Amino acid sequence: MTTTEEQATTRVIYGVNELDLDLAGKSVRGIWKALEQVFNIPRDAAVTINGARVDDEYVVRPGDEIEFQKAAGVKGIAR
Amino acid sequence: MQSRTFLRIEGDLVSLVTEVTDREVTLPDLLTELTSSQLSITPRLPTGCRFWLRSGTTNRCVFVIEQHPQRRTIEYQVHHRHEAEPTTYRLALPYVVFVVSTFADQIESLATYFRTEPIGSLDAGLLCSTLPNTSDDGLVCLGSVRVSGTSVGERVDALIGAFWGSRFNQDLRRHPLPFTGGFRAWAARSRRDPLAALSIAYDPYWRTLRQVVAQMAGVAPTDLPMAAVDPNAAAETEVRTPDPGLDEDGGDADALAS
Repeated sequence: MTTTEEQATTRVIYGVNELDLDLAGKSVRGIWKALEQVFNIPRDAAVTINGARVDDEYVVRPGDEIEFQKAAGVKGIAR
Repeated sequence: MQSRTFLRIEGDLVSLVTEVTDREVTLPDLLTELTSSQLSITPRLPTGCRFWLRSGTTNRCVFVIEQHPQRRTIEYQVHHRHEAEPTTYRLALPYVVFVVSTFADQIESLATYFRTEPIGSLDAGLLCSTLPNTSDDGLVCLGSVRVSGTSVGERVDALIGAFWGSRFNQDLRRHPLPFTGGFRAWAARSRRDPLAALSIAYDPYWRTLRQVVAQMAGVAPTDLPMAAVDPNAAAETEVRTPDPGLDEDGGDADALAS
C-alpha cells in the first residue's frame, strides 16, 4: 500500500477572504504581489505570520498562517 | 365571460361603457401566483452569508454571516490614550456570527455573537461574544471604523474585514474572556490548540437568531417566514443526483457541451 504525504499548505487571510495555498519558500513580498489583485490587498497592509509581525523579506514555511491587515480605525467611543 | 354596461361620468363627459371580465380570482390566489411565478435573485451577497432578509416596509436589509473557527490576529489597546502601544494577540475563535443591518443600502449596525457549531436554521441560539467593544445585545461600537464598496455586499465584506482590522480596546467590555489570565492566556491556549475556543461555556444570549434579525430589520419575529423544516424533527433525506450519462431524451449529455 502506498501512502501520500500531505504537504502542509499556507493559509492566507485578508478581511473576509481566506485561501489555503502552497506558498512555502516564497517571500511575503512575492505573496503580496501574487495576491494583491485577487484579494485587493493594499500595499500598506500589516503582515503577520502566525500572529507575529514580519517584514517583506520573510520566507514562508509550510503550515504558516499569513494574515494581511489593513488598519481600519479604532472601535469604541473616543475619550 | 361576464359583461356589464354602465355610464361613466368624468367632468362634463358621459360615456356608455361595456366592460368584459375574462376571468376572476380571489386576491390571495393572485398574490400566491405572483410570488410563486416571479423570478427573483439576491444581490451579490457578502462572503459567508447564511441568511439575507429584505424588508420593503422599513427599507432595511439584514445579512447573517458566519465565519468558521479560525485564529485571527487582533490589536488590543489597554488604554484609550493614543500614545499607548497596542498589543497584538492571535486568538483561536469559535464560529463567529455577524448580523449586519443596512438602511437604504448603507451600513446601519453590526452585531456579533459566538457559536460552537454551525448555524442550522434561523431559530438557532446564540452565545455572547467575549470580544470587547460589544454591548450586552451584541452590538459592536464601531467608533472610527469607516468602510466603502461598490455594492452593499462589498460594503458588508469590508465592514467585517474592518471589524478584525480595527483596534480593540476596553470600551464596552461586557463578557469575561474565555480563559483566566486575559488575552495573553487566550493567545497561549490558541497557540497550542487552534480549536480551543470551541470547548468554552460562553454566556448564552437571550434572543435567538430569528429575534435578532427581526429586531435589526425593524419587523416582528412572527413576520419572518417559519423554517421550512423543523430542525428538531428533521430526518436526513437522501437526495438522488442526476445520472450524468443520459439526458431526458436518452441522448448523450456530453452532446450539450459540444
